[in-house]
Amino acid sequence: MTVDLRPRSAVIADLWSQLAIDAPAFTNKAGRPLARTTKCLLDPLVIRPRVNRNLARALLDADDAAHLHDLLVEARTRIEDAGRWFVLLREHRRRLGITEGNPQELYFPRAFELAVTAGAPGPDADERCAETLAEVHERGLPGLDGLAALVAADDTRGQVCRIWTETWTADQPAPDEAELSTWAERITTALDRAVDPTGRAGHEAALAGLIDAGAPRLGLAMRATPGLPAELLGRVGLPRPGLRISHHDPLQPPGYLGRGELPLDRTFEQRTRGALRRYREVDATISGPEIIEDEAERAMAPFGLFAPDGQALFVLGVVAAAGLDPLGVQVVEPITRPRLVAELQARLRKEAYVMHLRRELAAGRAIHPRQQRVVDELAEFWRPWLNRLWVRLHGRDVTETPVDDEARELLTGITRSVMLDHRQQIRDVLEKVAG
Amino acid sequence: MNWQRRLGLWTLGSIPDAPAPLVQVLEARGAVLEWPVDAPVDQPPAITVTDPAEADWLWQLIGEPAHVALLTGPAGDDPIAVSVAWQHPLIVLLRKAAHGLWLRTWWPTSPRDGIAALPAGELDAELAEVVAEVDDIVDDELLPRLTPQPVATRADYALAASGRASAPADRVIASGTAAMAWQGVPGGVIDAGEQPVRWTVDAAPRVVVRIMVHTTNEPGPLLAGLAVSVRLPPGEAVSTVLDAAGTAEVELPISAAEAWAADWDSLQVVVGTEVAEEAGMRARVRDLARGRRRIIDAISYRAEADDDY
Repeated sequence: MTVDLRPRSAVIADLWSQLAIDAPAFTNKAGRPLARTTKCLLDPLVIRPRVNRNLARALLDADDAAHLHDLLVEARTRIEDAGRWFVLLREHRRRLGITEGNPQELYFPRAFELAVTAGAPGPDADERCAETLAEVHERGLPGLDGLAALVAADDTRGQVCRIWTETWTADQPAPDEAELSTWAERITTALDRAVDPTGRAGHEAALAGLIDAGAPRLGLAMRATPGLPAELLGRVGLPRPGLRISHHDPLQPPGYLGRGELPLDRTFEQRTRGALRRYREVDATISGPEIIEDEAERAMAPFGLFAPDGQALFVLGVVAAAGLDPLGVQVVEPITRPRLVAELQARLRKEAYVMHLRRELAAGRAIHPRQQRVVDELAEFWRPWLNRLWVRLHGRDVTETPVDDEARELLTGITRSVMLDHRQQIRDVLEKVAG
Repeated sequence: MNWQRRLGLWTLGSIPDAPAPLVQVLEARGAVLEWPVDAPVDQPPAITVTDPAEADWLWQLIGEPAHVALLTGPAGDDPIAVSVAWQHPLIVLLRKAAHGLWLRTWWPTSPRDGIAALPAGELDAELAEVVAEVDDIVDDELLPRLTPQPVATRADYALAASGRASAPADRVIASGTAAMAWQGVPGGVIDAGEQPVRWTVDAAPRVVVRIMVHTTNEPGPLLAGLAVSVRLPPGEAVSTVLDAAGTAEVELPISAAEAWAADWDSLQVVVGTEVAEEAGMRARVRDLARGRRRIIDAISYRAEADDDY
C-alpha cells in the first residue's frame, strides 16, 4: 500500500498557497481556493479530470501531485487574470441589478474564458463584460416560442404521428423465466458494484453486462407485456406497488402536447423543449425541424433513449427509486437493498433526521399543516427522482454524451438535487411567511 | 478512534442520542457534524459522512491520515482504526456555526418566563460572518436563508406582557392547561414556557372546548393554521387549527349531561404535530438559555448577550 497518498483537495489547497496564486476573488480567508473555485473553475477548466484521469481520484500520489503542480503553474496567469475579470463581471452585475443565479457559479467559468481569449482586462473590458453578461442572462430561451409553434403545427403533428405509427414496435415476445432472472441478477450486480468509488471499471462492466442482457429488449418488451416493472422489482426484492414509469402498462407512445407526469409519459412538446434546452447548454446549433425529427425518432427507442448505456441506467434507476424512502413511511422494512441504493437511502434518512433537528419537520411529519403537500410528495420520492433521472439521461442522449463512467455520480447527484428541492419547499413554508 | 459504519454511513465519534433541542448540528459538504448542546466549545463533533466525495475537506478537521483512511479502508463494514489529529481552532469555528443555527432554531423565547427573543437580524449577520470563514466546508445550499441586519435597537426585543381574554367564566364547567412539544411546532411562534396551552369547557348548550395559546410577542403568520387536536377519553380525537389570535374551538360529540359527569383531568389537548417530549428536557433548555445570557465563551454571539447583565 502506498504511504504518500493525500486527499486531492489538500494537495490543491497546498499548491494554491505555495504558488501564491494572486486571485483574491477565488481565495477564502484561510488562503485556500473557495469551494466553487475548485468546482466551477479549477476542475472543469484547469485540472480536467475527464482528460487527466489520474487526477479524478479523491486521493493523489506524489506523481499526481507533481502533475497537478504543472497544470497550475501553466494556468497561473490565466487564473489570476480570470480573478480580475470576475471582479469586473460582478461589478457589472451589480450595476445592472441582476440577481438571478449564483454569481460565482455563473461567472467563474466565463471569467476564465475571458482570460483565455483576452488575457488581462484591457481598455475594452467594459464592453466584453457587457457582452458576457448579455450571453449569460439571455432571458428565456430564444427560439423556444418558435419551436413550440412548429411543434403545435398540424403538419408537424401529422408527420410525427405518422412516424410513430410506423415505428412503434410492440411485437416482442414476453420474456421467459430465464430472461427475467438474468435481468434481475444483472441489475442487482450493477447496483452493488456502483457503490465502490474505486471500482469504476467494475461498474462499467456491470452496466455493460446489463446492456448485453438486453436492457434495450426490456424496454421494447414493456410495450407488449404488462407488469414487467413490478415483476422485476419483486425479483430484486424491492417491491413498490405504487411505482410507475408510465400511466400505460404495457407502454404506449407518449402524448403529443401538454404535460406528462411520469417519465415515459413526457409529451413530445416536453421532449423537444428539453432537447432545445440541452443544445443551448452545450452551445450547439440545430434547426427546429431537425430537433423535431430527432425527437420523433428518439421517442420510439426503448425508454425514449437511443444510447444503450442510458437505457440500462434508466432500468437501474427504476430499481433504485423503489428503494428510496426519505421519511421511512413507504417501504416496508426490513428489506435488503443493493449497495448503492442502501447508501443513497442511508443519506436520505440522515437528511430527513437533520430536518427534524432543524425543526423543519416533526419526526418525519409536517411541522406545520401548510407543509402537507410537499411532505406527501416526499413520501413518493420515486416520482420526482425518476423524472429528473429521465430528463438528465435524455439530455445526455440528445448530445450523445456517454453516461457509463459517471453512473454513480449521476444517481447520487439526482438524489441530492431532488432532496434539496424538497427541503427548500419545506423551508419556504416556514421562512417566506416569517420573513 | 474508529471510523464506524452506523445505519449504512461512516461515522467518527459517538452520535448524540438525544431529543432534537439538545443537539447542535452543522451540515457540512458531504458530512453532518453533531454536538450535544452543552458540550465544551472545543469538543470534537460526531461526524457522519453522507458523501465521501463531497466531503473532500475532512482533512482540515481531522488531519490527512484519518481522511485518507476513510477513502482507502477495506470495502466491508468493519471499523477502521485511525489516529485523528483534531484541528481545534476549526472545531470551535464549526461549533460556533452550529451553535448559531441552534439559537435560530431552538432559542426558547418566552415572554411569560422572561426569556426574550434574540435579535434575529443581528444573529444572522454574525452567523453569516462565521459561515463565510468556512465556506469550503459548510454547504451553503443547505443553510437556511439568512437575513442579516445591522444591530437594531434592543427595545424591539423587550419583553411585553402576553395575555388573552378567557372565555366568560360563568359558563365554564372545566378548565386547565396543557404542555406542548417544541418539536411539533415551528420555532418562535408559541411561548416556550411550560404549559403554554390553556383550555376551558363550556357546556351550554353544546359542549365546546376553547383553546388559547400563549404566544411570543411576534408570533407571525405561522400561528394561524397550526394543528390542534382534542380528545376526551374514551372518545375519539377531534381536530382543528388555531386562528390568527392563537385560539380555537372544538365541539365534542357528547351531551351536556355527559360533560358535567366527565373526567376533564383526562382531557388531552395537542397543539402542533404530536411528538413525545419530556418537560424536563424543555426545562433544561430554558436553563441553558438563561445561562447563555450570562456567559461569554468562544462560541458566543453578540445577540446572546443580555444588556441587563
